[in-house]
Amino acid sequence: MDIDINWGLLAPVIALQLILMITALVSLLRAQTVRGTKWIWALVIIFGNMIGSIVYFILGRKET
Amino acid sequence: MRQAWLIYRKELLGMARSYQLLWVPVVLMLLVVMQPVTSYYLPEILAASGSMPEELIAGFPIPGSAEVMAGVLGQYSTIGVLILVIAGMQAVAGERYGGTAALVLVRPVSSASFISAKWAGQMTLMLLSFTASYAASWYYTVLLIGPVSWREGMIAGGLYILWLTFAVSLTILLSTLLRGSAAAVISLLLMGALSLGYSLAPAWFSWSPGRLLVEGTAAFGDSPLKPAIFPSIMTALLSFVCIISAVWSLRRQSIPDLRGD
Repeated sequence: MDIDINWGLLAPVIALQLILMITALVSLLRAQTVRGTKWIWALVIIFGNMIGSIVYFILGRKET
Repeated sequence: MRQAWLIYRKELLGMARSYQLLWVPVVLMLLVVMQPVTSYYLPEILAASGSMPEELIAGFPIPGSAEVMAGVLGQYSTIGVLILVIAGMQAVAGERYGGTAALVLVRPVSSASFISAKWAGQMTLMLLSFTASYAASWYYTVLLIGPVSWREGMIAGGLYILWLTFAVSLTILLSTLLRGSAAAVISLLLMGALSLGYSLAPAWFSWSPGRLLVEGTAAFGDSPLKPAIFPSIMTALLSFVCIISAVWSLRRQSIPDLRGD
């Protein structure tokens, strides 16, 4: 059974998800060093949805 | 004042550079907006899961706007506080152990302006995130489910802002006393204990900031609004005490021993 989704309604939510993901990726690319490996963090951010980006921002970034 | 203003601007710049000013509001918006959206699509989600009989789903009520807004508030009291505390845990501790605080404080910069600038920075982040996400979830609730009473919405929002102000102040104090992650864990435990304390023994904890959560959620109920003036004043007072203690403890702290790093 397919759900009748009103995409116009969900567009802002999807846009927010994208903003979050892109911010996390930009931050990852520009970071000098991160905890762990960069390409693993990239996978976490892309496939981990919102949680992936949050985990990156909290754990991945090194405090300078 | 001028010093505090300068440190505050530097603080905002730092938050923008570490993308905190962007990701904290966006995450909170996503979290609370999902509340009305999933409530609205609940019958369809249940139907798609396929394990429930059709008649039951047809009769399944979509929760009312008051219930959804109460759910939205519930998100702030758990995940909202968690994110704000984690975002703020390094505010003072990071600079103390990174050595920046020593550099700043050997100059004629008072610890009062240092702490108040830090506090103002975290408050800005909190107010920005809360306002944006609360407005977004309110909008979605009205759009999908039904009108929300302005009065109730504003009162509940105000009480939650006060509770989050206390969370920010407590985090700043603990961040002055302890290292970042320990500060976060202890402020989360204290916040949890305060809200649990009120729900377990309301008579003993009628002064507690935890009461603001209950009253805020109850603002959307059918019962007439009870004035939460006493716990509000206590919360404001406790926040102020946190800030004063933070200033006082920063003043008498020696420069931390960096060999442990």
